[in-house]
Amino acid sequence: MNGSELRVLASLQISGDEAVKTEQFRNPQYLGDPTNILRILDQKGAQEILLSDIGASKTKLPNYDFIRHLSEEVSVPLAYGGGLSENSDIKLLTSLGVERFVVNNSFFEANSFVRELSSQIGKSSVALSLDISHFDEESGILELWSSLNSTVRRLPISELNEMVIASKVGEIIIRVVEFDGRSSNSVPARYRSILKKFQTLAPDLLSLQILIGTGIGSEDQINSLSDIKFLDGFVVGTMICRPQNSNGVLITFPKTFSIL
Amino acid sequence: MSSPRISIIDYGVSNINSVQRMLSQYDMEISIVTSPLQIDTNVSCVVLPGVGNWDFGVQQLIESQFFSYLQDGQWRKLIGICLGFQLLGQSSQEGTKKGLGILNMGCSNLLGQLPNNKLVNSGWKEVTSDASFPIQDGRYYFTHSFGFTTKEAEERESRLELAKIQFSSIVAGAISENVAGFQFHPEKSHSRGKLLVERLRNEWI
Repeated sequence: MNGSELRVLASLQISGDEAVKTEQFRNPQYLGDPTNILRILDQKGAQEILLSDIGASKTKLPNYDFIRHLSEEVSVPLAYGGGLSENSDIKLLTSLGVERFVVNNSFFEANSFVRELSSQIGKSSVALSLDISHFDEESGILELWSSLNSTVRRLPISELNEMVIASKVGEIIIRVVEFDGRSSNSVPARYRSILKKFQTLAPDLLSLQILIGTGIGSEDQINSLSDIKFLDGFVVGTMICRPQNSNGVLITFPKTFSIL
Repeated sequence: MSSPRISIIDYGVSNINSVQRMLSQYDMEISIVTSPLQIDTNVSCVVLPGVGNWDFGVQQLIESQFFSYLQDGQWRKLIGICLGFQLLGQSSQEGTKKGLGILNMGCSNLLGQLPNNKLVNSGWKEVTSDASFPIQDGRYYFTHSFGFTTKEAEERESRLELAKIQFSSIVAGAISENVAGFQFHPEKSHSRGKLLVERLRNEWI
């Protein structure tokens, strides 16, 4: 895939009515006003926005009014994750402007909800976020971390393959927990290695949209992985929205991937 | 000259607020309708948005009474967006229910249509059009796993001017004298989507 075909999603975490930034999905630090941040990202041509409500992940109560308010700031697709469950008002969220629903815990703990979700809104609008705390490449066992209760779930990747296909999810976002809020030179190599195992052990998933998130810190890192043909895109957070020493926040979106 | 009156159908399967927000930026009277009884004969154009699964969408249209209204052709001009565009067709491989049949074609899965054997088409894609109006060549936002093919459209709906996703045979958009449809989301396609709406308002509706 060349630069113009890669999907690059701008990721914004919120808690309450604040934008926050976590490290390894813990210790959220105040980042700024999400309304302003989204407005600027939209002006800079962000392709898509992924809004993650880490507060709602724990309460399982999406903040519908706030989502409505935030969706009015963007004229590009909005994906939402955070506390989605069988009690969520999916019709309302769709009407408010959410185009894609990102599930995590509910995929494993309430899989029937995810199947029902897909049957209503279509598989292209349902994404599964896999938060990998450890991957034993030799055995093919994934350790998936749950931010809801800080527990780890062990799952053979082959079993994940079956579950995802059966659930009619259309997209997978692979996130290495260790890299959240951090970037290092080892990030691309690690993801390349993980994706290689997916290719071998979970081949059915390759026909879905595959994205990686956490740790991608530069356009060079994106470009270094662009040779992986089944990789459709990236979810970037720190790269596009980072705190500054003066208590401000720098918001940017790489022009190479901008839709302007 | 009075502003055109637009009715957006709310049948519980769409990002209705996003569509309304986009259309409201132009000189048009916009109303969201939950029943065909709310659409009077002076409405210039009816918009059928849609985000969802085929069978669920058809069922929602039936239950909201819009299925028969649309099928009966009691409208002047009709725009379908994403699932709304697909529902104008006869059928879809995604489900078993029958579509509106306003367009004489059916939706297929995307097997073989996308690079790298992908079955889900998401992201900003280049659209090319033989028609100079109203879709400009450029990138628009798509998210779908079924769609119309240009082969079938050309064979069975010669009245339609088509736009397609570059290097594929997926119909990106289609327009005739009184029906228009877009597989992509104009309301989520930033400035290019806005331009499309503006042109529809000024030159088609």
